[in-house]
Amino acid sequence: MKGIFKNETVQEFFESKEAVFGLVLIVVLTLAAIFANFIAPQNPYDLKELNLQNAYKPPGYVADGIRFLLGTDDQGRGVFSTILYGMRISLFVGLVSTVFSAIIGTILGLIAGYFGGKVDMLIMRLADIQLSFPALLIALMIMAIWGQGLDKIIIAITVVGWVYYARTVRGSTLAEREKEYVDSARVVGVGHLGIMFKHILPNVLAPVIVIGTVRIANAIILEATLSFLGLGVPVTKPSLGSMIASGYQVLFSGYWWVSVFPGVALMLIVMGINLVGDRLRDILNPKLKR
Amino acid sequence: MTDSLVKVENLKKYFPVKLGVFEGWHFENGKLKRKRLYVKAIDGVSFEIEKGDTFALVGESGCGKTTTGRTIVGLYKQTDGKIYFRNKPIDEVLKKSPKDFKKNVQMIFQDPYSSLNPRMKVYNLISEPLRVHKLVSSRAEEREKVEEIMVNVGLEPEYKSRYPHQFSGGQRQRIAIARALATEPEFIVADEPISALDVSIRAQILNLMEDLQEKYGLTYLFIAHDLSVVRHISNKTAVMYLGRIVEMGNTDEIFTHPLHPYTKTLFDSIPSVEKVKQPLKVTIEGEVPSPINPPPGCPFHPRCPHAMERCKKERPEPKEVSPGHFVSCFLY
Repeated sequence: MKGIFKNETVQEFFESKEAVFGLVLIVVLTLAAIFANFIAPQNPYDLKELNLQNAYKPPGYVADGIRFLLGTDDQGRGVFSTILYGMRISLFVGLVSTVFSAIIGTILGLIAGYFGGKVDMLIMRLADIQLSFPALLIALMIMAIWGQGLDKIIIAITVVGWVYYARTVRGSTLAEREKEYVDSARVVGVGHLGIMFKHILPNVLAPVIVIGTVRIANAIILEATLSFLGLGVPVTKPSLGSMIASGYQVLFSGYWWVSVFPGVALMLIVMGINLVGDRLRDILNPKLKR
Repeated sequence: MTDSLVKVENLKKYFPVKLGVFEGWHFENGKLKRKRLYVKAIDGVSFEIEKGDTFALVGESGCGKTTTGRTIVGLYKQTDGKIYFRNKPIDEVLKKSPKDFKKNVQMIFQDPYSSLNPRMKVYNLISEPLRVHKLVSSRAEEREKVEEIMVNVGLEPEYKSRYPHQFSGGQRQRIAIARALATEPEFIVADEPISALDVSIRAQILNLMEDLQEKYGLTYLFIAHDLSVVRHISNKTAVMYLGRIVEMGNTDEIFTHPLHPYTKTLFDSIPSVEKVKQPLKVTIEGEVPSPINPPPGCPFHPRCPHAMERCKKERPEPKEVSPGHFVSCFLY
C-alpha cells in the first residue's frame, strides 16, 4: 500500500485538483451509503418506523424524536435517510452492472479483434444494431420482457453497456495482435486462449478502466431513470430515481425538497465519478499526454 | 545432403494486396472480373541447412528474407513449396504435433522492444515456454531452470522480477534469446537480432549467440542485411534479391569470389576505412522493383550492368559453379 503513492500514474492523478475533489466526493458518498444504517436517523425501508403524520414536512422538522434534516416525503420518510439508503442501491447497481458489462464486453471485444473475419463481423454488427437504439429503450424492452426488480435492472444495464467495452477492446486488440510479442508467443507455442488472455488482455486493459469509470456514472443515471419511470426498485425501497419521481408531482406545490435533495445527491455522485474518470482518461491515454 | 536439418524447396509466399472497393475491376470476355494482386514476397526459394551450421540470409530490406524466416517457424503458411524439418514436411508436423515442432524451432525477433510483452516480468517471459511445453514439474524446478538460463545468456538472476522496459536494448535481446532457448531447441531463426541494437552491444550479442551454439549444438538461420556481421558468424550464405536467392555458398567463398553482379554490388557498397578518402562509387542504379509486379526474366536485370537480351526473357536457374557454390546468372 505504501508503494502505491510512489507509482507514477497515482502521483499524476493527484496533480489534478478536480480529480482529487471528485475522488473525495466519491469516497465520502460511498462511505455514507455503506454506513447508512449508522448515520441515518431512521430506516426508511422499515415501514414500522414510518409515520404518515410526518408526511411532507419541511427540512429541519422534528418529530418522534427524529430530526428530519432535509424534510420528509409523502410516506413520512426522512429525505436525508432515504438518500443515504437510496445511494446504496444506486452505487451497487452502478458498480455491479458496470463490472458485468466490462467483463462481457472485454471478452467479446477480444474474441472479435483476435479472430477477426466472420466472428468479428457478427459481434460488431450486433453492437452496431444495439447502438442504433437509445440505451433507455433497450433497458425498457428488457424490463418489459423480464419484469421488475433489482436483478432485472442490473441485467438491463449490463446489456446496454457491453458494447462500449467491446468496441474499444476490439480496436486495441486489432493493434496489439500485429505486435511482435504476439508472434513470439505463437512461436513459443502458446495457444489462442493464452495469447488472448495472458498476452493481449493486459495490454488493452487501460482503456477498459477509463470507460468503466465513466460508465458507472451512466449506469447510475440509467438506474435512476428506470426508477423514475417506475420500472425499477419496489416502491417500499425507493432509490434516488424513484425519490425524484415521487417528489416530482408535488414539486410546485411547495414540497420542493422531496425531489431536489435526491437530485443533488445523484448529481454529486455522477460529477465525482466523471471527474475521476476524465482524469484517468487523460493519464492512461498517452496520446493526450503533454 | 539428405541429413539436413532444415530443407526448403521452391518456397513461395504471396500476400494478397488489399484493393479499394472500386479498384481492380475489368472486363474479360464480356464479364466483369476483379484482378487479384499479390506481393510476391518469396518467389521460389530453395536451400538446405545442415545441423550445426549457421546459414545466413542476406539482402536488402523487402527482399523476402524475414518472410522466409517467419514461414519456416510456422508464423506464415506458405503459398507453395515445401519446408522439411528433420526430413518431415512442417505443414504435416504442425498439424500432428505442433508442440513438438515449436519446442524444437524457435525464433529471435529483430526488435527486442516489441518482441517482449511489456506487461510480463522477465521471470514469466522465460518460464512461459517451460510451462507451455510442460518441461518442469514443480515451482522450485522452474525457478532453478529460469535462473540457469538467465545465467547462460548473461543476465543477473536477481533481475527476474523486472519488466522489459527496465532493461537496455542489449539486455532485452538477451531476454529474448533466453526465451528462445528455454525449450532447448535445435534450430533457431534469428531475424536480424542485432540490427536494432547499439553498435557497441552488437558484438556481445553475436558472441553470446556463438557461445550458445557451441554449448547446445544449435543450428541458426541468421537473417541480416549487414554483410560484415554475416562474415563473422555464418559458414553458409545465401544472397536474396526480390524474393529469390541469387547466390548461395560457403561464406568464405562468397566473400572472396562473389560471382553474381548483385552480390558484387552489395560488397562494393560497404563503406570501409581504406575507401574513406574517395567518394563511394555508386555501383547500383535505381530502386528495388516492386514485388507486386516483378520484372520478367532475371529479377535483377533492370539494374544489372551486365544485362543481356536473354536476361529480360528467361529466368536463370541456380547453377553450381564450384562445389556448393550456386549462382543464378547467365554470365556463368
